[in-house]
Amino acid sequence: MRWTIDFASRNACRVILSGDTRQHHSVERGDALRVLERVGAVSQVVLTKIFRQLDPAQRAAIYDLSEGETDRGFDKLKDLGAIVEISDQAERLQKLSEKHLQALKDGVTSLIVTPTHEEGRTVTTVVRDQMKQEGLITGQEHVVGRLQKLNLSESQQRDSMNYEHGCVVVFHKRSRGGFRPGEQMGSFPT
Amino acid sequence: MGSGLANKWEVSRRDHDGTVIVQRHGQEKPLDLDTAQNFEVYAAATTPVAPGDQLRITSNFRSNGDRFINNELVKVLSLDEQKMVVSRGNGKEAVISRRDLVHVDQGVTVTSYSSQSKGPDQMLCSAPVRSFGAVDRKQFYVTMSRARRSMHLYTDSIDGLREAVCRTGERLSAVELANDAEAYLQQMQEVLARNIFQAKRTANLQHGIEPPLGPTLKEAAPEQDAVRPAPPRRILEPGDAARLAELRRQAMERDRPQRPDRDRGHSIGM
Repeated sequence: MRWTIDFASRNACRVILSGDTRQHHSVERGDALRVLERVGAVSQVVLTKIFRQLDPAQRAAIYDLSEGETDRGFDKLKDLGAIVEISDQAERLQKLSEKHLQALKDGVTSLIVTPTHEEGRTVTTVVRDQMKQEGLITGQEHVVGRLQKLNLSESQQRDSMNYEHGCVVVFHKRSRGGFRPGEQMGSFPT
Repeated sequence: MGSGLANKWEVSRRDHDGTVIVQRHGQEKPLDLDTAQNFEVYAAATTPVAPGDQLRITSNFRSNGDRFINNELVKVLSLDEQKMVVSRGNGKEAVISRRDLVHVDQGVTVTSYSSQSKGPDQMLCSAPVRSFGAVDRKQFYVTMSRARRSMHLYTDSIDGLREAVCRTGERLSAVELANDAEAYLQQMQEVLARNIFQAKRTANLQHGIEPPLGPTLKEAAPEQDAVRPAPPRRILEPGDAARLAELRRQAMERDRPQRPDRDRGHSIGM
């Protein structure tokens, strides 16, 4: 951030920070927007009209959320039937899964959001089983190796205690010790 | 050929002096942790994939000349040992070699973080009590504001969810944290002073001593007699609590109500 500002002032550039500080915070280096907004150091232009939600009642509820009136927005959404309580897990996931598949069949885009990755995996298993039953997932299933980011901070990465056998290290820059960026891995023999 | 994981540097052990040793194809090397800004650490995992699946790209990478972007969702058209053919958001098809295929995950669900920038027709959310640790105001706002036409959130406790979403989920910078703590301490000192004032006044009145002319309680403490200030948004560090206790002790020590001196008949310290 400091580098950006230095560069901009040296070269007479304008820096525009854009974002919504009421949404999830950015990576740490992008947090400057929130800090600047809070201390009122720079002039700002704010979008107050919500365009995404097409239904006025839904839009009003989301507007409350965007203004930090979370409890009011919550109650409106509840009254609209957007928040549903089903205590039985199997029944709850079944209901969600059916709604998702119906949308896929109708050609409507549908996104399933979960607060945690753990919940995401639970939902994924149920939805995929149903997709297989209904012939939306077909053919042979392969087990694909993949990398799961450990989300260590740079200082955590400097501490050898955070390295366990089997962890995978991927370079994005050429580094001391003859390590090359991960994108070049294809050039190595297997 | 085969999995892309075979070409990656894997942590094989930590030496007795703490040096991290990585290996690839049997070749071992020490990892210089001072270059930490140049790499990312991952755990190796697996996921089942079949044609029809929706996958999420988890990092920027290139394969066969196509660039794939972190958080992009692709649909699997076909898959074999060498390659995976996918359909992308722009409707185009692309081929990902299996050896380039490591930055992927199941894309049936996304977290609210990854959902930012997406605007589907319908949003479905599963947020049972066991996931409430990751639920707060921002998370709820982002989640519910994704969809254009309909949103459905499923939970096993509406009341619990309502409580969870009213948490703020703010990150505070060091300066803000310090300011908050400082302001809190200052407020507490004022409250203490006010409480002590009142205690002394009560003690004096009990001994039949009228308060001298001077600021009345109301003037000295305009708001309320003894209110606790709202705590800061972050719990104070343990050290601050100790500091607070010490301040309180000192204040009490200094201003402890004494028995009034009947001979001279004046009130104390008002």
